[in-house]
Amino acid sequence: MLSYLDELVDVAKLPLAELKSATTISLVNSQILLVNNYIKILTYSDTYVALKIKNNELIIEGSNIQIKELNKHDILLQGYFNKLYFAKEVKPNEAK
Amino acid sequence: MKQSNNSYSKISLTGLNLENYINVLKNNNIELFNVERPQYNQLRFITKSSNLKYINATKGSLELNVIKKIGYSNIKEFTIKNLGYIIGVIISIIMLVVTNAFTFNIHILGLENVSKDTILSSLQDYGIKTFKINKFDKDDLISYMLDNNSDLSLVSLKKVGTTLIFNIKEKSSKLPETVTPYMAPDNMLINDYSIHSGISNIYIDKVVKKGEVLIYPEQYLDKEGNLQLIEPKGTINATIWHTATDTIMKEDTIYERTGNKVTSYSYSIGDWKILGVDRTHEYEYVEEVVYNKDISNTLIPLKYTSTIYYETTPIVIQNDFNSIKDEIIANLESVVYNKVAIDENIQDKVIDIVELDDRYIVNVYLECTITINI
Repeated sequence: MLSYLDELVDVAKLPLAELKSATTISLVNSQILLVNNYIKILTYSDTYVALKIKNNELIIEGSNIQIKELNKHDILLQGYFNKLYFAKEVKPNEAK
Repeated sequence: MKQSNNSYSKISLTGLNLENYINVLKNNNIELFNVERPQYNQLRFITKSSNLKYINATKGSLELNVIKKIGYSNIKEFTIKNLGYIIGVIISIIMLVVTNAFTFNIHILGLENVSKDTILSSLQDYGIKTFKINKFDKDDLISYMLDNNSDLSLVSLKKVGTTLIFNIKEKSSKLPETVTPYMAPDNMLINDYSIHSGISNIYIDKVVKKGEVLIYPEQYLDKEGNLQLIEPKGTINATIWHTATDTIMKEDTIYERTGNKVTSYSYSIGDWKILGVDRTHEYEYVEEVVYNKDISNTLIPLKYTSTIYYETTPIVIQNDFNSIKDEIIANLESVVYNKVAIDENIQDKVIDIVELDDRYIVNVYLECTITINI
């Protein structure tokens, strides 16, 4: 049976080491957001959070946003999220 | 990412460029929880208390404020600050538990003929002494007391604080067997009698009262010269009257409450009043209601007493005797019939009503005959 990462390796056609260090975003019910492997916090307020991730910036807009937990690689946010988007446009050639 | 059982501190940082500082902390493996941004220049979060030193060293121009401490460090600080009180409380509890195990006093209640010293020496033989920790099984002690004191019929034991309370019931003394004269069971008129043994104290048509001797036992001297008695025997036929009487007043006065009242109350220890309010009243007619409650009876006999004086007003009611006469007679008949014993025969019933100035007196008589076989 393939594990979760093995399945991703198979689908993404990327090496496992690179996959493990890739930025992953998990959103539950528009109220809980987990971002793995972010680089740093650019801006933080209760309505606007900007996180630097690999090759891009993740912008989160909403209300009552609170950082529930934060460590070197992962950040867990809680609140009411209205918009999640990347600051820079991703072009097919750049994504590779 | 769950919090462990370490101690944590809630910190407030005030200053600019707070995002940069968060990144500095996270890059140095410092975990933050519940990060809040109440204002643009203020950050609040929870982190392990062990990280405080690093944060203090690296905060730079930021203002650090520890809002509260959570977990073991909080308890540790509290304990160190109040060490004296905590030690005092622990010592007091130990002393209370230890002294409570002692027995300082033994109360023995219910003694009449048996002396207290007998009971105390019996307890000492078992191993129960004052000013000592006495460990015993209650049921075992009670059965020991009953086995070693033949004059006791019941023993109960209760430990209240440092006092042992024994409640004792002694055996009643046995009465010697003796021959007694036969006495009249009720007031009666002697109709007829026949004495088989004994000396008669009655004659026909004699009126005897309850308890009066009817037949004396026969006496004789035996071979040793001792006086011996022979139990009286015989048959007596007599007439007994049972009566029931009721008085009905022509006017009755009842006292009705007006709604006004005055209350006095007091708290007392035993008979010594410690606190209370005494109020007087000026009512002409008053109904007094007293309420007593034992608040505590264990070490201090604390009692609460309240007296309420209700003002009343007298109301005169006229009684219509004729309307209630039949009911009264029926009640009296049931009372008087209940007095008739199984071996009595009812011969006659008389209902007598006497009218006086202020009342009626109703009498119901039952004439019964009885045959007594002694």
